Formats: sequence, C-alpha cells, structure tokens
Amino acid sequence: MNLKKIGYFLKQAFKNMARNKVMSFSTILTVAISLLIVGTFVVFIVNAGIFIETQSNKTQLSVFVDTAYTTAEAKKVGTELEKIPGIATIDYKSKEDALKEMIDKQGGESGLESILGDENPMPHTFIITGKTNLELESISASAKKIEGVYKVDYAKDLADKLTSIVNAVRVGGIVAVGILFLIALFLISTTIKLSLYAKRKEIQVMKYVGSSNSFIQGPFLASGMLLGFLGALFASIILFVAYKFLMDWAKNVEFLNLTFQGGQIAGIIAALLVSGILVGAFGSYLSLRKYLEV
Amino acid sequence: MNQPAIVRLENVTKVYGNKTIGLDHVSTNIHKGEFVFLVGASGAGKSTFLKLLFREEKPTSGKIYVGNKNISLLKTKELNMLRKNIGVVFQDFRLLEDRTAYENIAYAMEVLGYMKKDIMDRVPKILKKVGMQHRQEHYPQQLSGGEQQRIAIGRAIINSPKILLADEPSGNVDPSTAVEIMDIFKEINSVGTTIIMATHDRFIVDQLAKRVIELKKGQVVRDQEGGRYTYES
Repeated sequence: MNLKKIGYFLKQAFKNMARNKVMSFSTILTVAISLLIVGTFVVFIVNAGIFIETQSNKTQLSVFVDTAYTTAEAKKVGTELEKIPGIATIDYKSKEDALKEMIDKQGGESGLESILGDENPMPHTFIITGKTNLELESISASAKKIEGVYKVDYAKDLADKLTSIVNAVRVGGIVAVGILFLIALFLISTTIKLSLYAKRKEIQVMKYVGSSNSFIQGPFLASGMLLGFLGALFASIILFVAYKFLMDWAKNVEFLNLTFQGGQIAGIIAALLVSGILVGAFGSYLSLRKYLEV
Repeated sequence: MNQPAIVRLENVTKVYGNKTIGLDHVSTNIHKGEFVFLVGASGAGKSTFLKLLFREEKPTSGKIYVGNKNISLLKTKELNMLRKNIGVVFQDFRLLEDRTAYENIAYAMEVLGYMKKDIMDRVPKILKKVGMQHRQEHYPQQLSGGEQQRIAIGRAIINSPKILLADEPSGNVDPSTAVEIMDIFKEINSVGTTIIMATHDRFIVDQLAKRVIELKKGQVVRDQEGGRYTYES
C-alpha cells in the first residue's frame, strides 16, 4: 500500500461523497449525533467519577459530645468510640480548637469573639473515618449508644446516591451508545451500498481487467472512513465547546471540584475520532462483503 | 499444432444452480494465436464457455487450464493476473456512460494503477488502432453501436492481453459495421493474440473461415478447422 494508492482512494472517496451529497450529509449528521451522545456520556461518567471520589474522601463521621462535658469526660467518650469495630482513624478536636476554627473561618472582623466572650458553644468532636464507607452506618449506630454523645453527623448517603445515579447512567449510557453505534453502522453501510450500486458498472469493468481487490474496495472503504471521521469531527467540535463552557461554569461552583482538564477532553475526542473511523471502516466492510463479489 | 495449448478444457461440465446445463463434458485445446468461433443456438453453452475462461463462473467438474494453470485453483492475486491477460468484449459493450471514449479506455489502465504518463502515451495508440481517434471526446450515447463496440474492443486490448474473448461482438451492429469490427479482430489476431468469439453471425464465420467449435446443449458437436457456420436452427 503506497501513498499514491491512498491518495487515489481518498480522491475517489471525496468524489463519492460529492456524488451522494444528501445521503452523505445525513450519514455524517447521524454519526455526529451518535458520537456526540457517546461523548457526552463519557464526559458525564468521567466527571461524576471525579466528583464522587472527592466526595467519598470527605465521607467521615463527626461525633459531637455533649457541650457540658469537660475535656477529660470527652476523652472517656473517645475511649469508648475506639472500641467500635470498623474504624480506620479517629481524631479528636477539642471545644477550643473547634471554636478557633470557626472564628478563623468567619474571619477576624466578624466580631464573633467579642459577642461570645468566654462562652464556647462548640462541642468536643471526634472525627472518624471508616475502613470503608459501608461501615459508616454501623459505626454511627454504635456511637449514638455511647453516653455523652448527643449527635452523630455524616454525609450519609450523598456518595451512595451519587454512585447509584452514576451506575444507572452508566448502564443506560452503554445501552444507548450500543444502539447509536448500530444506527451509525447501519447508515454508513447503507451509504456505501448505494455508492456500490451507483458504481456497479465501474466495478464490473475493474473486475474484468483484473484490478486488485484493494483497488476495487479501497475507495469504498475510504468513503466509509471519511464519513465516520467527519461525523466524529463534528461531534468533537461541539463536545469540546460544550465541555469548555460547562467547566468554566463548574469552576465557580465550589462543591463540584471540577475544572477544565485538557488531557481529559483530548483523550475523549481522540477516542471519538478513532471510533468514527472504525465505525466507518466496519460499516463499509459489511456492505463490501455483502454486495461486492470479487 | 505443436505448440502447447494456451487454453485447455478437460472434461468440463458446468451445471448452474437451477440445474440448467451450461457445458456438458467438454474437452478441447486452443493454441496460442488461434482464432476460434463458438457457434450454436442460444443456450447451447457459448457464453458459459467464455465465462468459465475468465472465471466469472467456476466449472462444476473438470479442469480448465489457461497457460499452465488450473484456473479453478487460482488465488485472488493469480486470478487478477489471469484477467489482466484476458480481454473481454460483450454484445452490449458495457461502457461507462459518464465517461468519454478516451476515458473509458483510460479507465482500464487507471484501475490497474498505471502512471498517468503511460496512460496518456498508450490510449491514443489504441484509439487509432480501433479507428476512433476522431471520436475520443464523445460519450457512449453520442456514438453508434459500431463505434461503441470499437471503444469496448480498445478497452479490452489496452493492457495487451494474450487472449481476447468476445461474446457476440457484432450482435448489436449492422452487417457492414460488423465486417469493419471483424477487421479489427483480425488485426489483433495477426499479432499473436488468441481470439475466442461466440457468434450468431453466419456471414462472418463463413467469410473468415477459421476454426469453428459448434455447441449443442452444452456439448461439442463439431470442431472444424476452416469451418463454416452450418448450424441450422
């Protein structure tokens, strides 16, 4: 396979496309829509994954001790807490630390310090992480039973909910992606079938004079790949613009923790382009195998 | 003839899918440079004979050798080689309507990957050979049947095949044009190209007085050097 031959195939592919403008355009559009949806799913799944990961790391229990408890009494509660199975780490945060942290958070100018005076409304707190997130529930239940514990707080099922949503989207996405790929495949193979039909006389002549199979099939394979590639290119451009726009917005939403990642979108676009070309090649291969007896 | 046969059929039978018999135990040799007429009624097996030779069809049984190769066993690349060495001319010309006379002939070189320079060098010579140099920019529908057939012959010989097959080449042209077309075939034959021609044209067969193979219901009923078209329908 030399460059001259590839050039010839591509030239023929462009000619085919020009000859079947409407069909080619609708094929490109369908491939573009299919791949755009595929790309959207992938972007969603990847970023939801990042989001969940950052949220999961934060999943921890805060055990608040009765505000009336002294530091010594609070430490005793801590000893009880340590007996609960499934705990990975346990950190103690005294009333004083908690208050200081809050004042820092509010900023020096809030005047909180002077309002409170000597009062410290903050409780002693134990921050617990489970060995896995699954154990948080039982740890929480056990902690509540300990005397002196007045509240257990944890971002209970935010992570769980997100995980289940993402899983549902993932399953639905895979099904949708599969169907869309089939539609794209079908359309490309139909387009190629039509151009095979339109060029049946040329093909016959080629066979009679002993053209090699690659010479006969090359232009059609190139046509399919070109259609797939152009569709993917459209999808990639739209996806990139949408992604950029969304991430610029997400950047300002603190809890999302999502930022524009060039590597990520470049990877997805590369995958889309490759998929487009592969779908195109496979679609034309199907038609060639079925309709072109060599 | 002492030369080895360029085409050899050994007990060749072709039965089509619908049980129609194309050829029935045919054995024959055709030598390099021969001019052979295949005659017989429609359905006698003439077209099957030709189709088997460039392997548009494969025999049901028996062996066909072209050169020294059993062509039933050819791999794709060898099959392409075979077809490069066999030109084919049809009754219905099979020209590409959207290409000029020149482009129709050039196409057969293009799709074999020839350089543009070679194509531009060779096509005018072929156009001259078939007497169509003055009509090279015309499209098939602007040409008469005889002119179209000349272009089709030009296309068939552009790659200098050793064997030229023709299926009723004068079937769609008037008698005087048929004679002119035969002159082209005679000239091609005179430089050593083997020609195998299926025809219904009594006048031509009688005039040329070449070897005649007569087929009837797929069998060879006559094989005569310098034969006449004696088939009675």
